[in-house]
Amino acid sequence: MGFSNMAKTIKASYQSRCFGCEMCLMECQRQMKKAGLEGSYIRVLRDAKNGLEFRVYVDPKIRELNIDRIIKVCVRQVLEEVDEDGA
Amino acid sequence: MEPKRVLYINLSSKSSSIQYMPELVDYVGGVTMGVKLFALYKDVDPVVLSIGPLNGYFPFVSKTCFVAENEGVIEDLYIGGSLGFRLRFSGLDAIVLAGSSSEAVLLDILDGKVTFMDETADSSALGLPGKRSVLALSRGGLILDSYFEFPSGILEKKFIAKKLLGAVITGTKTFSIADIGKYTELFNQIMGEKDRIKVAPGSHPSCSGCPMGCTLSVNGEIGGNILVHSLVACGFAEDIYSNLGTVFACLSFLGYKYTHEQLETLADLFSRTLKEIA
Repeated sequence: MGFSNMAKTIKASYQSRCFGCEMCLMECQRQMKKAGLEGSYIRVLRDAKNGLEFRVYVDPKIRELNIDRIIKVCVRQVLEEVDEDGA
Repeated sequence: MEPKRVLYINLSSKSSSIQYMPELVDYVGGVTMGVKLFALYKDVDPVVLSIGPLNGYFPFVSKTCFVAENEGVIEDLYIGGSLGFRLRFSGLDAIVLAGSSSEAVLLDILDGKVTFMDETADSSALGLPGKRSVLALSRGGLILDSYFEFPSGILEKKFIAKKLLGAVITGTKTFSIADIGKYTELFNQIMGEKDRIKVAPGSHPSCSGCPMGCTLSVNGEIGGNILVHSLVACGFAEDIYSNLGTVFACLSFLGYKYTHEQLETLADLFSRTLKEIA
């Protein structure tokens, strides 16, 4: 019937678009009532040799947060909502 | 208000200490505090890095201020990238690089704890990925995070004279936010003023806390509005952060008890402090 009750999560599907603003990280931390880099469910890593490229790592625990707000804060549309099985 | 936390690094003796300086509170941060620190330590040819109270919390407050002397002139320079965030989450308001090393040295700074590395160290292997900024002499200049450049060659000359190869700055501290509703409201209010940023959005590497990705972030800034540069906001966000109401609301939320008068007269304090140096 095209219906899924699978829990939703975030996947960084379009990593090449990321330009490293860390707004997604700030949103995650804000939802956890804190500011900082440590313990965020999203990590944004800059390529150590090439400052133009980034990798975005998403902790599975991000499903505990309001993922819609995290996705929307990214102006580059790096993130998308997916079912927990990655579909 | 809490005293400013300043990491003093003596390159000559390869020692460091964190100093708690209540006398800096009136200087707010950024360029005004940086010039005061320069005045206090002018005998040791300091290079001062400083941020403002809003760095790490609010959008477009994404720069780091550098104050140094160049051919008898005190220069204030600003760079974007991730450094302002890393300083904030190191729990520091400023770093003073004093004196000069007898041999080439690279600084590995984790939450204010300094390790002096020799020239064999690889800056890209130091610090914690995702929580560090790498400032290094490379490609014939001083570069932050392999991308962001400083205006003019002033700091490059300073680093070379101090035999300082660079610094890797990592911040792992977090700060709890009590009234998350008010914080989100203020944050979103400022994001709603995005159209007042005087630069077009792009797809270039952006500064932490700024979703613009503009073509100009690579270049850094020199000089400008004293209040905006005391907060160390982006110069292109001047229309937002020169608004005293906005600034006052953000500072008050974070627990800073500055008065409107203090903010209005910050430029005068800056001018008086410059005269102390002369």
